[in-house]
Amino acid sequence: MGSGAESRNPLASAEDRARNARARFAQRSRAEVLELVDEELVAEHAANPFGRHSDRLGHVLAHLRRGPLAGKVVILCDQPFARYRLARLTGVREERPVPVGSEVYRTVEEAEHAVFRLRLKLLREDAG
Amino acid sequence: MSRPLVLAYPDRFSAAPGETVSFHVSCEGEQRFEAALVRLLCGCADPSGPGFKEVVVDSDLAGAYPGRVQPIETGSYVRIDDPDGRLAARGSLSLRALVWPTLPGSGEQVIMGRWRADLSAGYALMLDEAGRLAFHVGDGQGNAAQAVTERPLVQRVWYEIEGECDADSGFMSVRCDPQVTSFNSQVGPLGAPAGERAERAAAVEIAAPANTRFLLAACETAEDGRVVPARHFNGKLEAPAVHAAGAAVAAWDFSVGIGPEGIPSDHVEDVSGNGLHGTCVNLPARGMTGASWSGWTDSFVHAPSEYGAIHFHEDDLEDARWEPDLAFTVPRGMRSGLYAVRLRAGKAEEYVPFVVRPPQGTATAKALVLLPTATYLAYANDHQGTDAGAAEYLLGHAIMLCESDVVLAERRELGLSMYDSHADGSGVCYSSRLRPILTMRPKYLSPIASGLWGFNADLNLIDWLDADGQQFDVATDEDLDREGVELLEPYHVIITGTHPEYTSPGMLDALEGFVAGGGGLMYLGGNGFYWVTTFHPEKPHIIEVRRGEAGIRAWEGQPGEGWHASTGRPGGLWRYRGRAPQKLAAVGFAAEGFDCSSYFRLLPDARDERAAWVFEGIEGDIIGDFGLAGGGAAGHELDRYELDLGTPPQTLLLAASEAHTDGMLRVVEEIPVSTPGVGGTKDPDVRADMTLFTHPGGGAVFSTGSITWCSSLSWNGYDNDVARLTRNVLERFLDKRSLPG
Repeated sequence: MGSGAESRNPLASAEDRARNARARFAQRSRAEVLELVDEELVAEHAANPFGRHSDRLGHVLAHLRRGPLAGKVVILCDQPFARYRLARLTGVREERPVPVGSEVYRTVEEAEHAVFRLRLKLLREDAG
Repeated sequence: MSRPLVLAYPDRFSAAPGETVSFHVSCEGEQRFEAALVRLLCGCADPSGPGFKEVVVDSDLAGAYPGRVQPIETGSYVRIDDPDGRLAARGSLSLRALVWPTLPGSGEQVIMGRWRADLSAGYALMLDEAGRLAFHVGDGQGNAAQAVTERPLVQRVWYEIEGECDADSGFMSVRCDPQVTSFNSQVGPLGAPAGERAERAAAVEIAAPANTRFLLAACETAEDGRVVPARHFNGKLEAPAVHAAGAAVAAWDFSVGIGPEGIPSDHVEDVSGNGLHGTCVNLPARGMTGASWSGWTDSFVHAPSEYGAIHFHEDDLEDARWEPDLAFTVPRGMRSGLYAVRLRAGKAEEYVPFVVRPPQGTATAKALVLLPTATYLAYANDHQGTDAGAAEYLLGHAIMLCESDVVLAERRELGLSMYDSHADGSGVCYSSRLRPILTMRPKYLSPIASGLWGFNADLNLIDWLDADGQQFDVATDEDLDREGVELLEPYHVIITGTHPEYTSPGMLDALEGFVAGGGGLMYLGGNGFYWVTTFHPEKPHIIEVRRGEAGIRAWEGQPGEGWHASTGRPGGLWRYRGRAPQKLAAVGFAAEGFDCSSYFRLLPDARDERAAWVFEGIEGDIIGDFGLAGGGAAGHELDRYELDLGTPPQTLLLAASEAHTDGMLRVVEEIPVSTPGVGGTKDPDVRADMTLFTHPGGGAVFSTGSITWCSSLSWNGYDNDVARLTRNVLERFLDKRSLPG
């Protein structure tokens, strides 16, 4: 498998005008995605955080999973199969992820759903 | 005091009775560490499975040892051998080279010179912190001067550069002239930057401590009482030369040595006639396109003069070069298997796996597990969880990081995997086993699929074989590459790991020869036999992989840089060498997805009398709708039967996986035209195929085509259909006389 590097070169995007086009896409996409979110959708994810989702949930997740490395929400496993927390990547090599909140989750499924809810909250905040 | 941390590596991955493995340990935050020898079984604490299992083995090695911190020096460069001090210039001199910088502006980077950075002593041509070209001279007594251009160099553009000082006029200068063609740089002539020259008066004598070395792509500095290489240059360097009084003191041609078998050497030739030859340290990439690359050749073998560049990286690492702390000589009669030295210091724990082989030239069982160590090396210390922005999108779930991933993120000196990019964005084409490899450990849970992957997934196979009472020997990819089919011939059955993705030509030849000679191959994995892989002929601890323009690839090499410097042969996918995995295993890479796994459903061939024995004791049509990796035996990466890619025509297609999600995606080499509908719910070729074929010579190949197969073996206390089916095949293959005709 291979998941691809974030960027060919950290300096390459310094004057990259394409970021304006991508920002416009994200703005439009954010609005479309928020219209798809309701309690039923959140409940579907809570019931089954991994795999086999409806097309609607798949669309929302596809949007939430994109985004730059810096600030990406991840799951920190303190104790396998017993203790998980959320954190954010800084996007800088050699830096530890920064913990988000103090909540502890007993299963990776609970943590996965917490990531989903946190991202929906951030999406709403971004949309103003 | 820092948090305790123990890291270690062995000097070899396998040893036979009478041979010795040494273990190189760095111990932080504790004065002592405890060592024990263990046989590894299950490496995962998942409560749905058997839990973590190891067996402590009595050995002389057990006991307490003094701990010490051992540093790692990363960063590649060339060390020049100058016993007569010809490069210890004091007056006029000129330094010239061609450079293709990749990280200008990320700190001071020395291109060439005899320079002690801590003393500002000697001379050096470098990029300053802002990425501007600078020529520095100094006497180490506080007198230093530099000529510096105004603008930074532009990344991935070829420049001719020169730094010069003239003792007579008292002036020094520096200049950079872009050498952009339509092919050789990131931009073409229409986007090329301008050249520049800077000059200044400088009445400074050049002097440096007598033991200061002349280096290419780095300089020396003192740190913690030691003189170490520092300020590594990131980028390509070509034809560096030193002139004094109008004559060449040294002129290095990196293309000298390129031949039909590549350039598997650290030697750097001085062509000035003065014999100031050099040695590469930490394995920079050779056989790289130079400023004169025409765009019309893909190989240094065919046009060596166009490949006169070496690509240096600040994070290259060939060998941690730690001192040994303990050693283990395999005693006569020790059972072949997968072992580890377990190290504990306070709360810190480390496992250093290694294989015990049977006595040389013998077998102590009829079955051999071929541990895919080339694949472990390709993934060694991968940073996909912390460095790869697209990882989550591919995986279909949030990234889960364990402590080892955080250690790897912080400690870049542990080196990179072939899934990483260097700090400058270029791909990593070498991997070494002479360093701690945190991803090749029991208990390691990978961000990939939030858990079982590679070594730790393969322990599920080892554990099941042990729990089932099967006798087996173990050998590594490196052993097979070195010894060929002779290693396999004493066995009736070869069993692969879950993901033997990286395969050398010698390994493929051996496996093919083994089956042709009447042996049974059980390929219990997915995405196997995929990348052309080289074990370095001079450095067996190194593998080389070049990722080209096709395949699921974490990075893509530069145009013209797809051939292996260590062999002089093209890299890339075996498929594009005309040797797709299907020719050996009947199946080859078809799809990947990591959100959840699925199951197999039997197909009509399962009822064929030639294969009915495979399913003895199994009821129903569904196999493997359970397991520790994504909940199914068909998952992560899937391989498909494909006659067009070389599946032997006599192959039976026993079962195929189904009900995959759209997170399971067809591989890119099978999508020549972008189309929708390449996910598991829409594409009929997104599936794992279970196959069986026999060869007229008596051999047979059984394949499951799925990485997660082996992680279902232990389900329900090892009492399940995946285990039953695997046992049916193994026991049939073990009895050569009853191999299906």
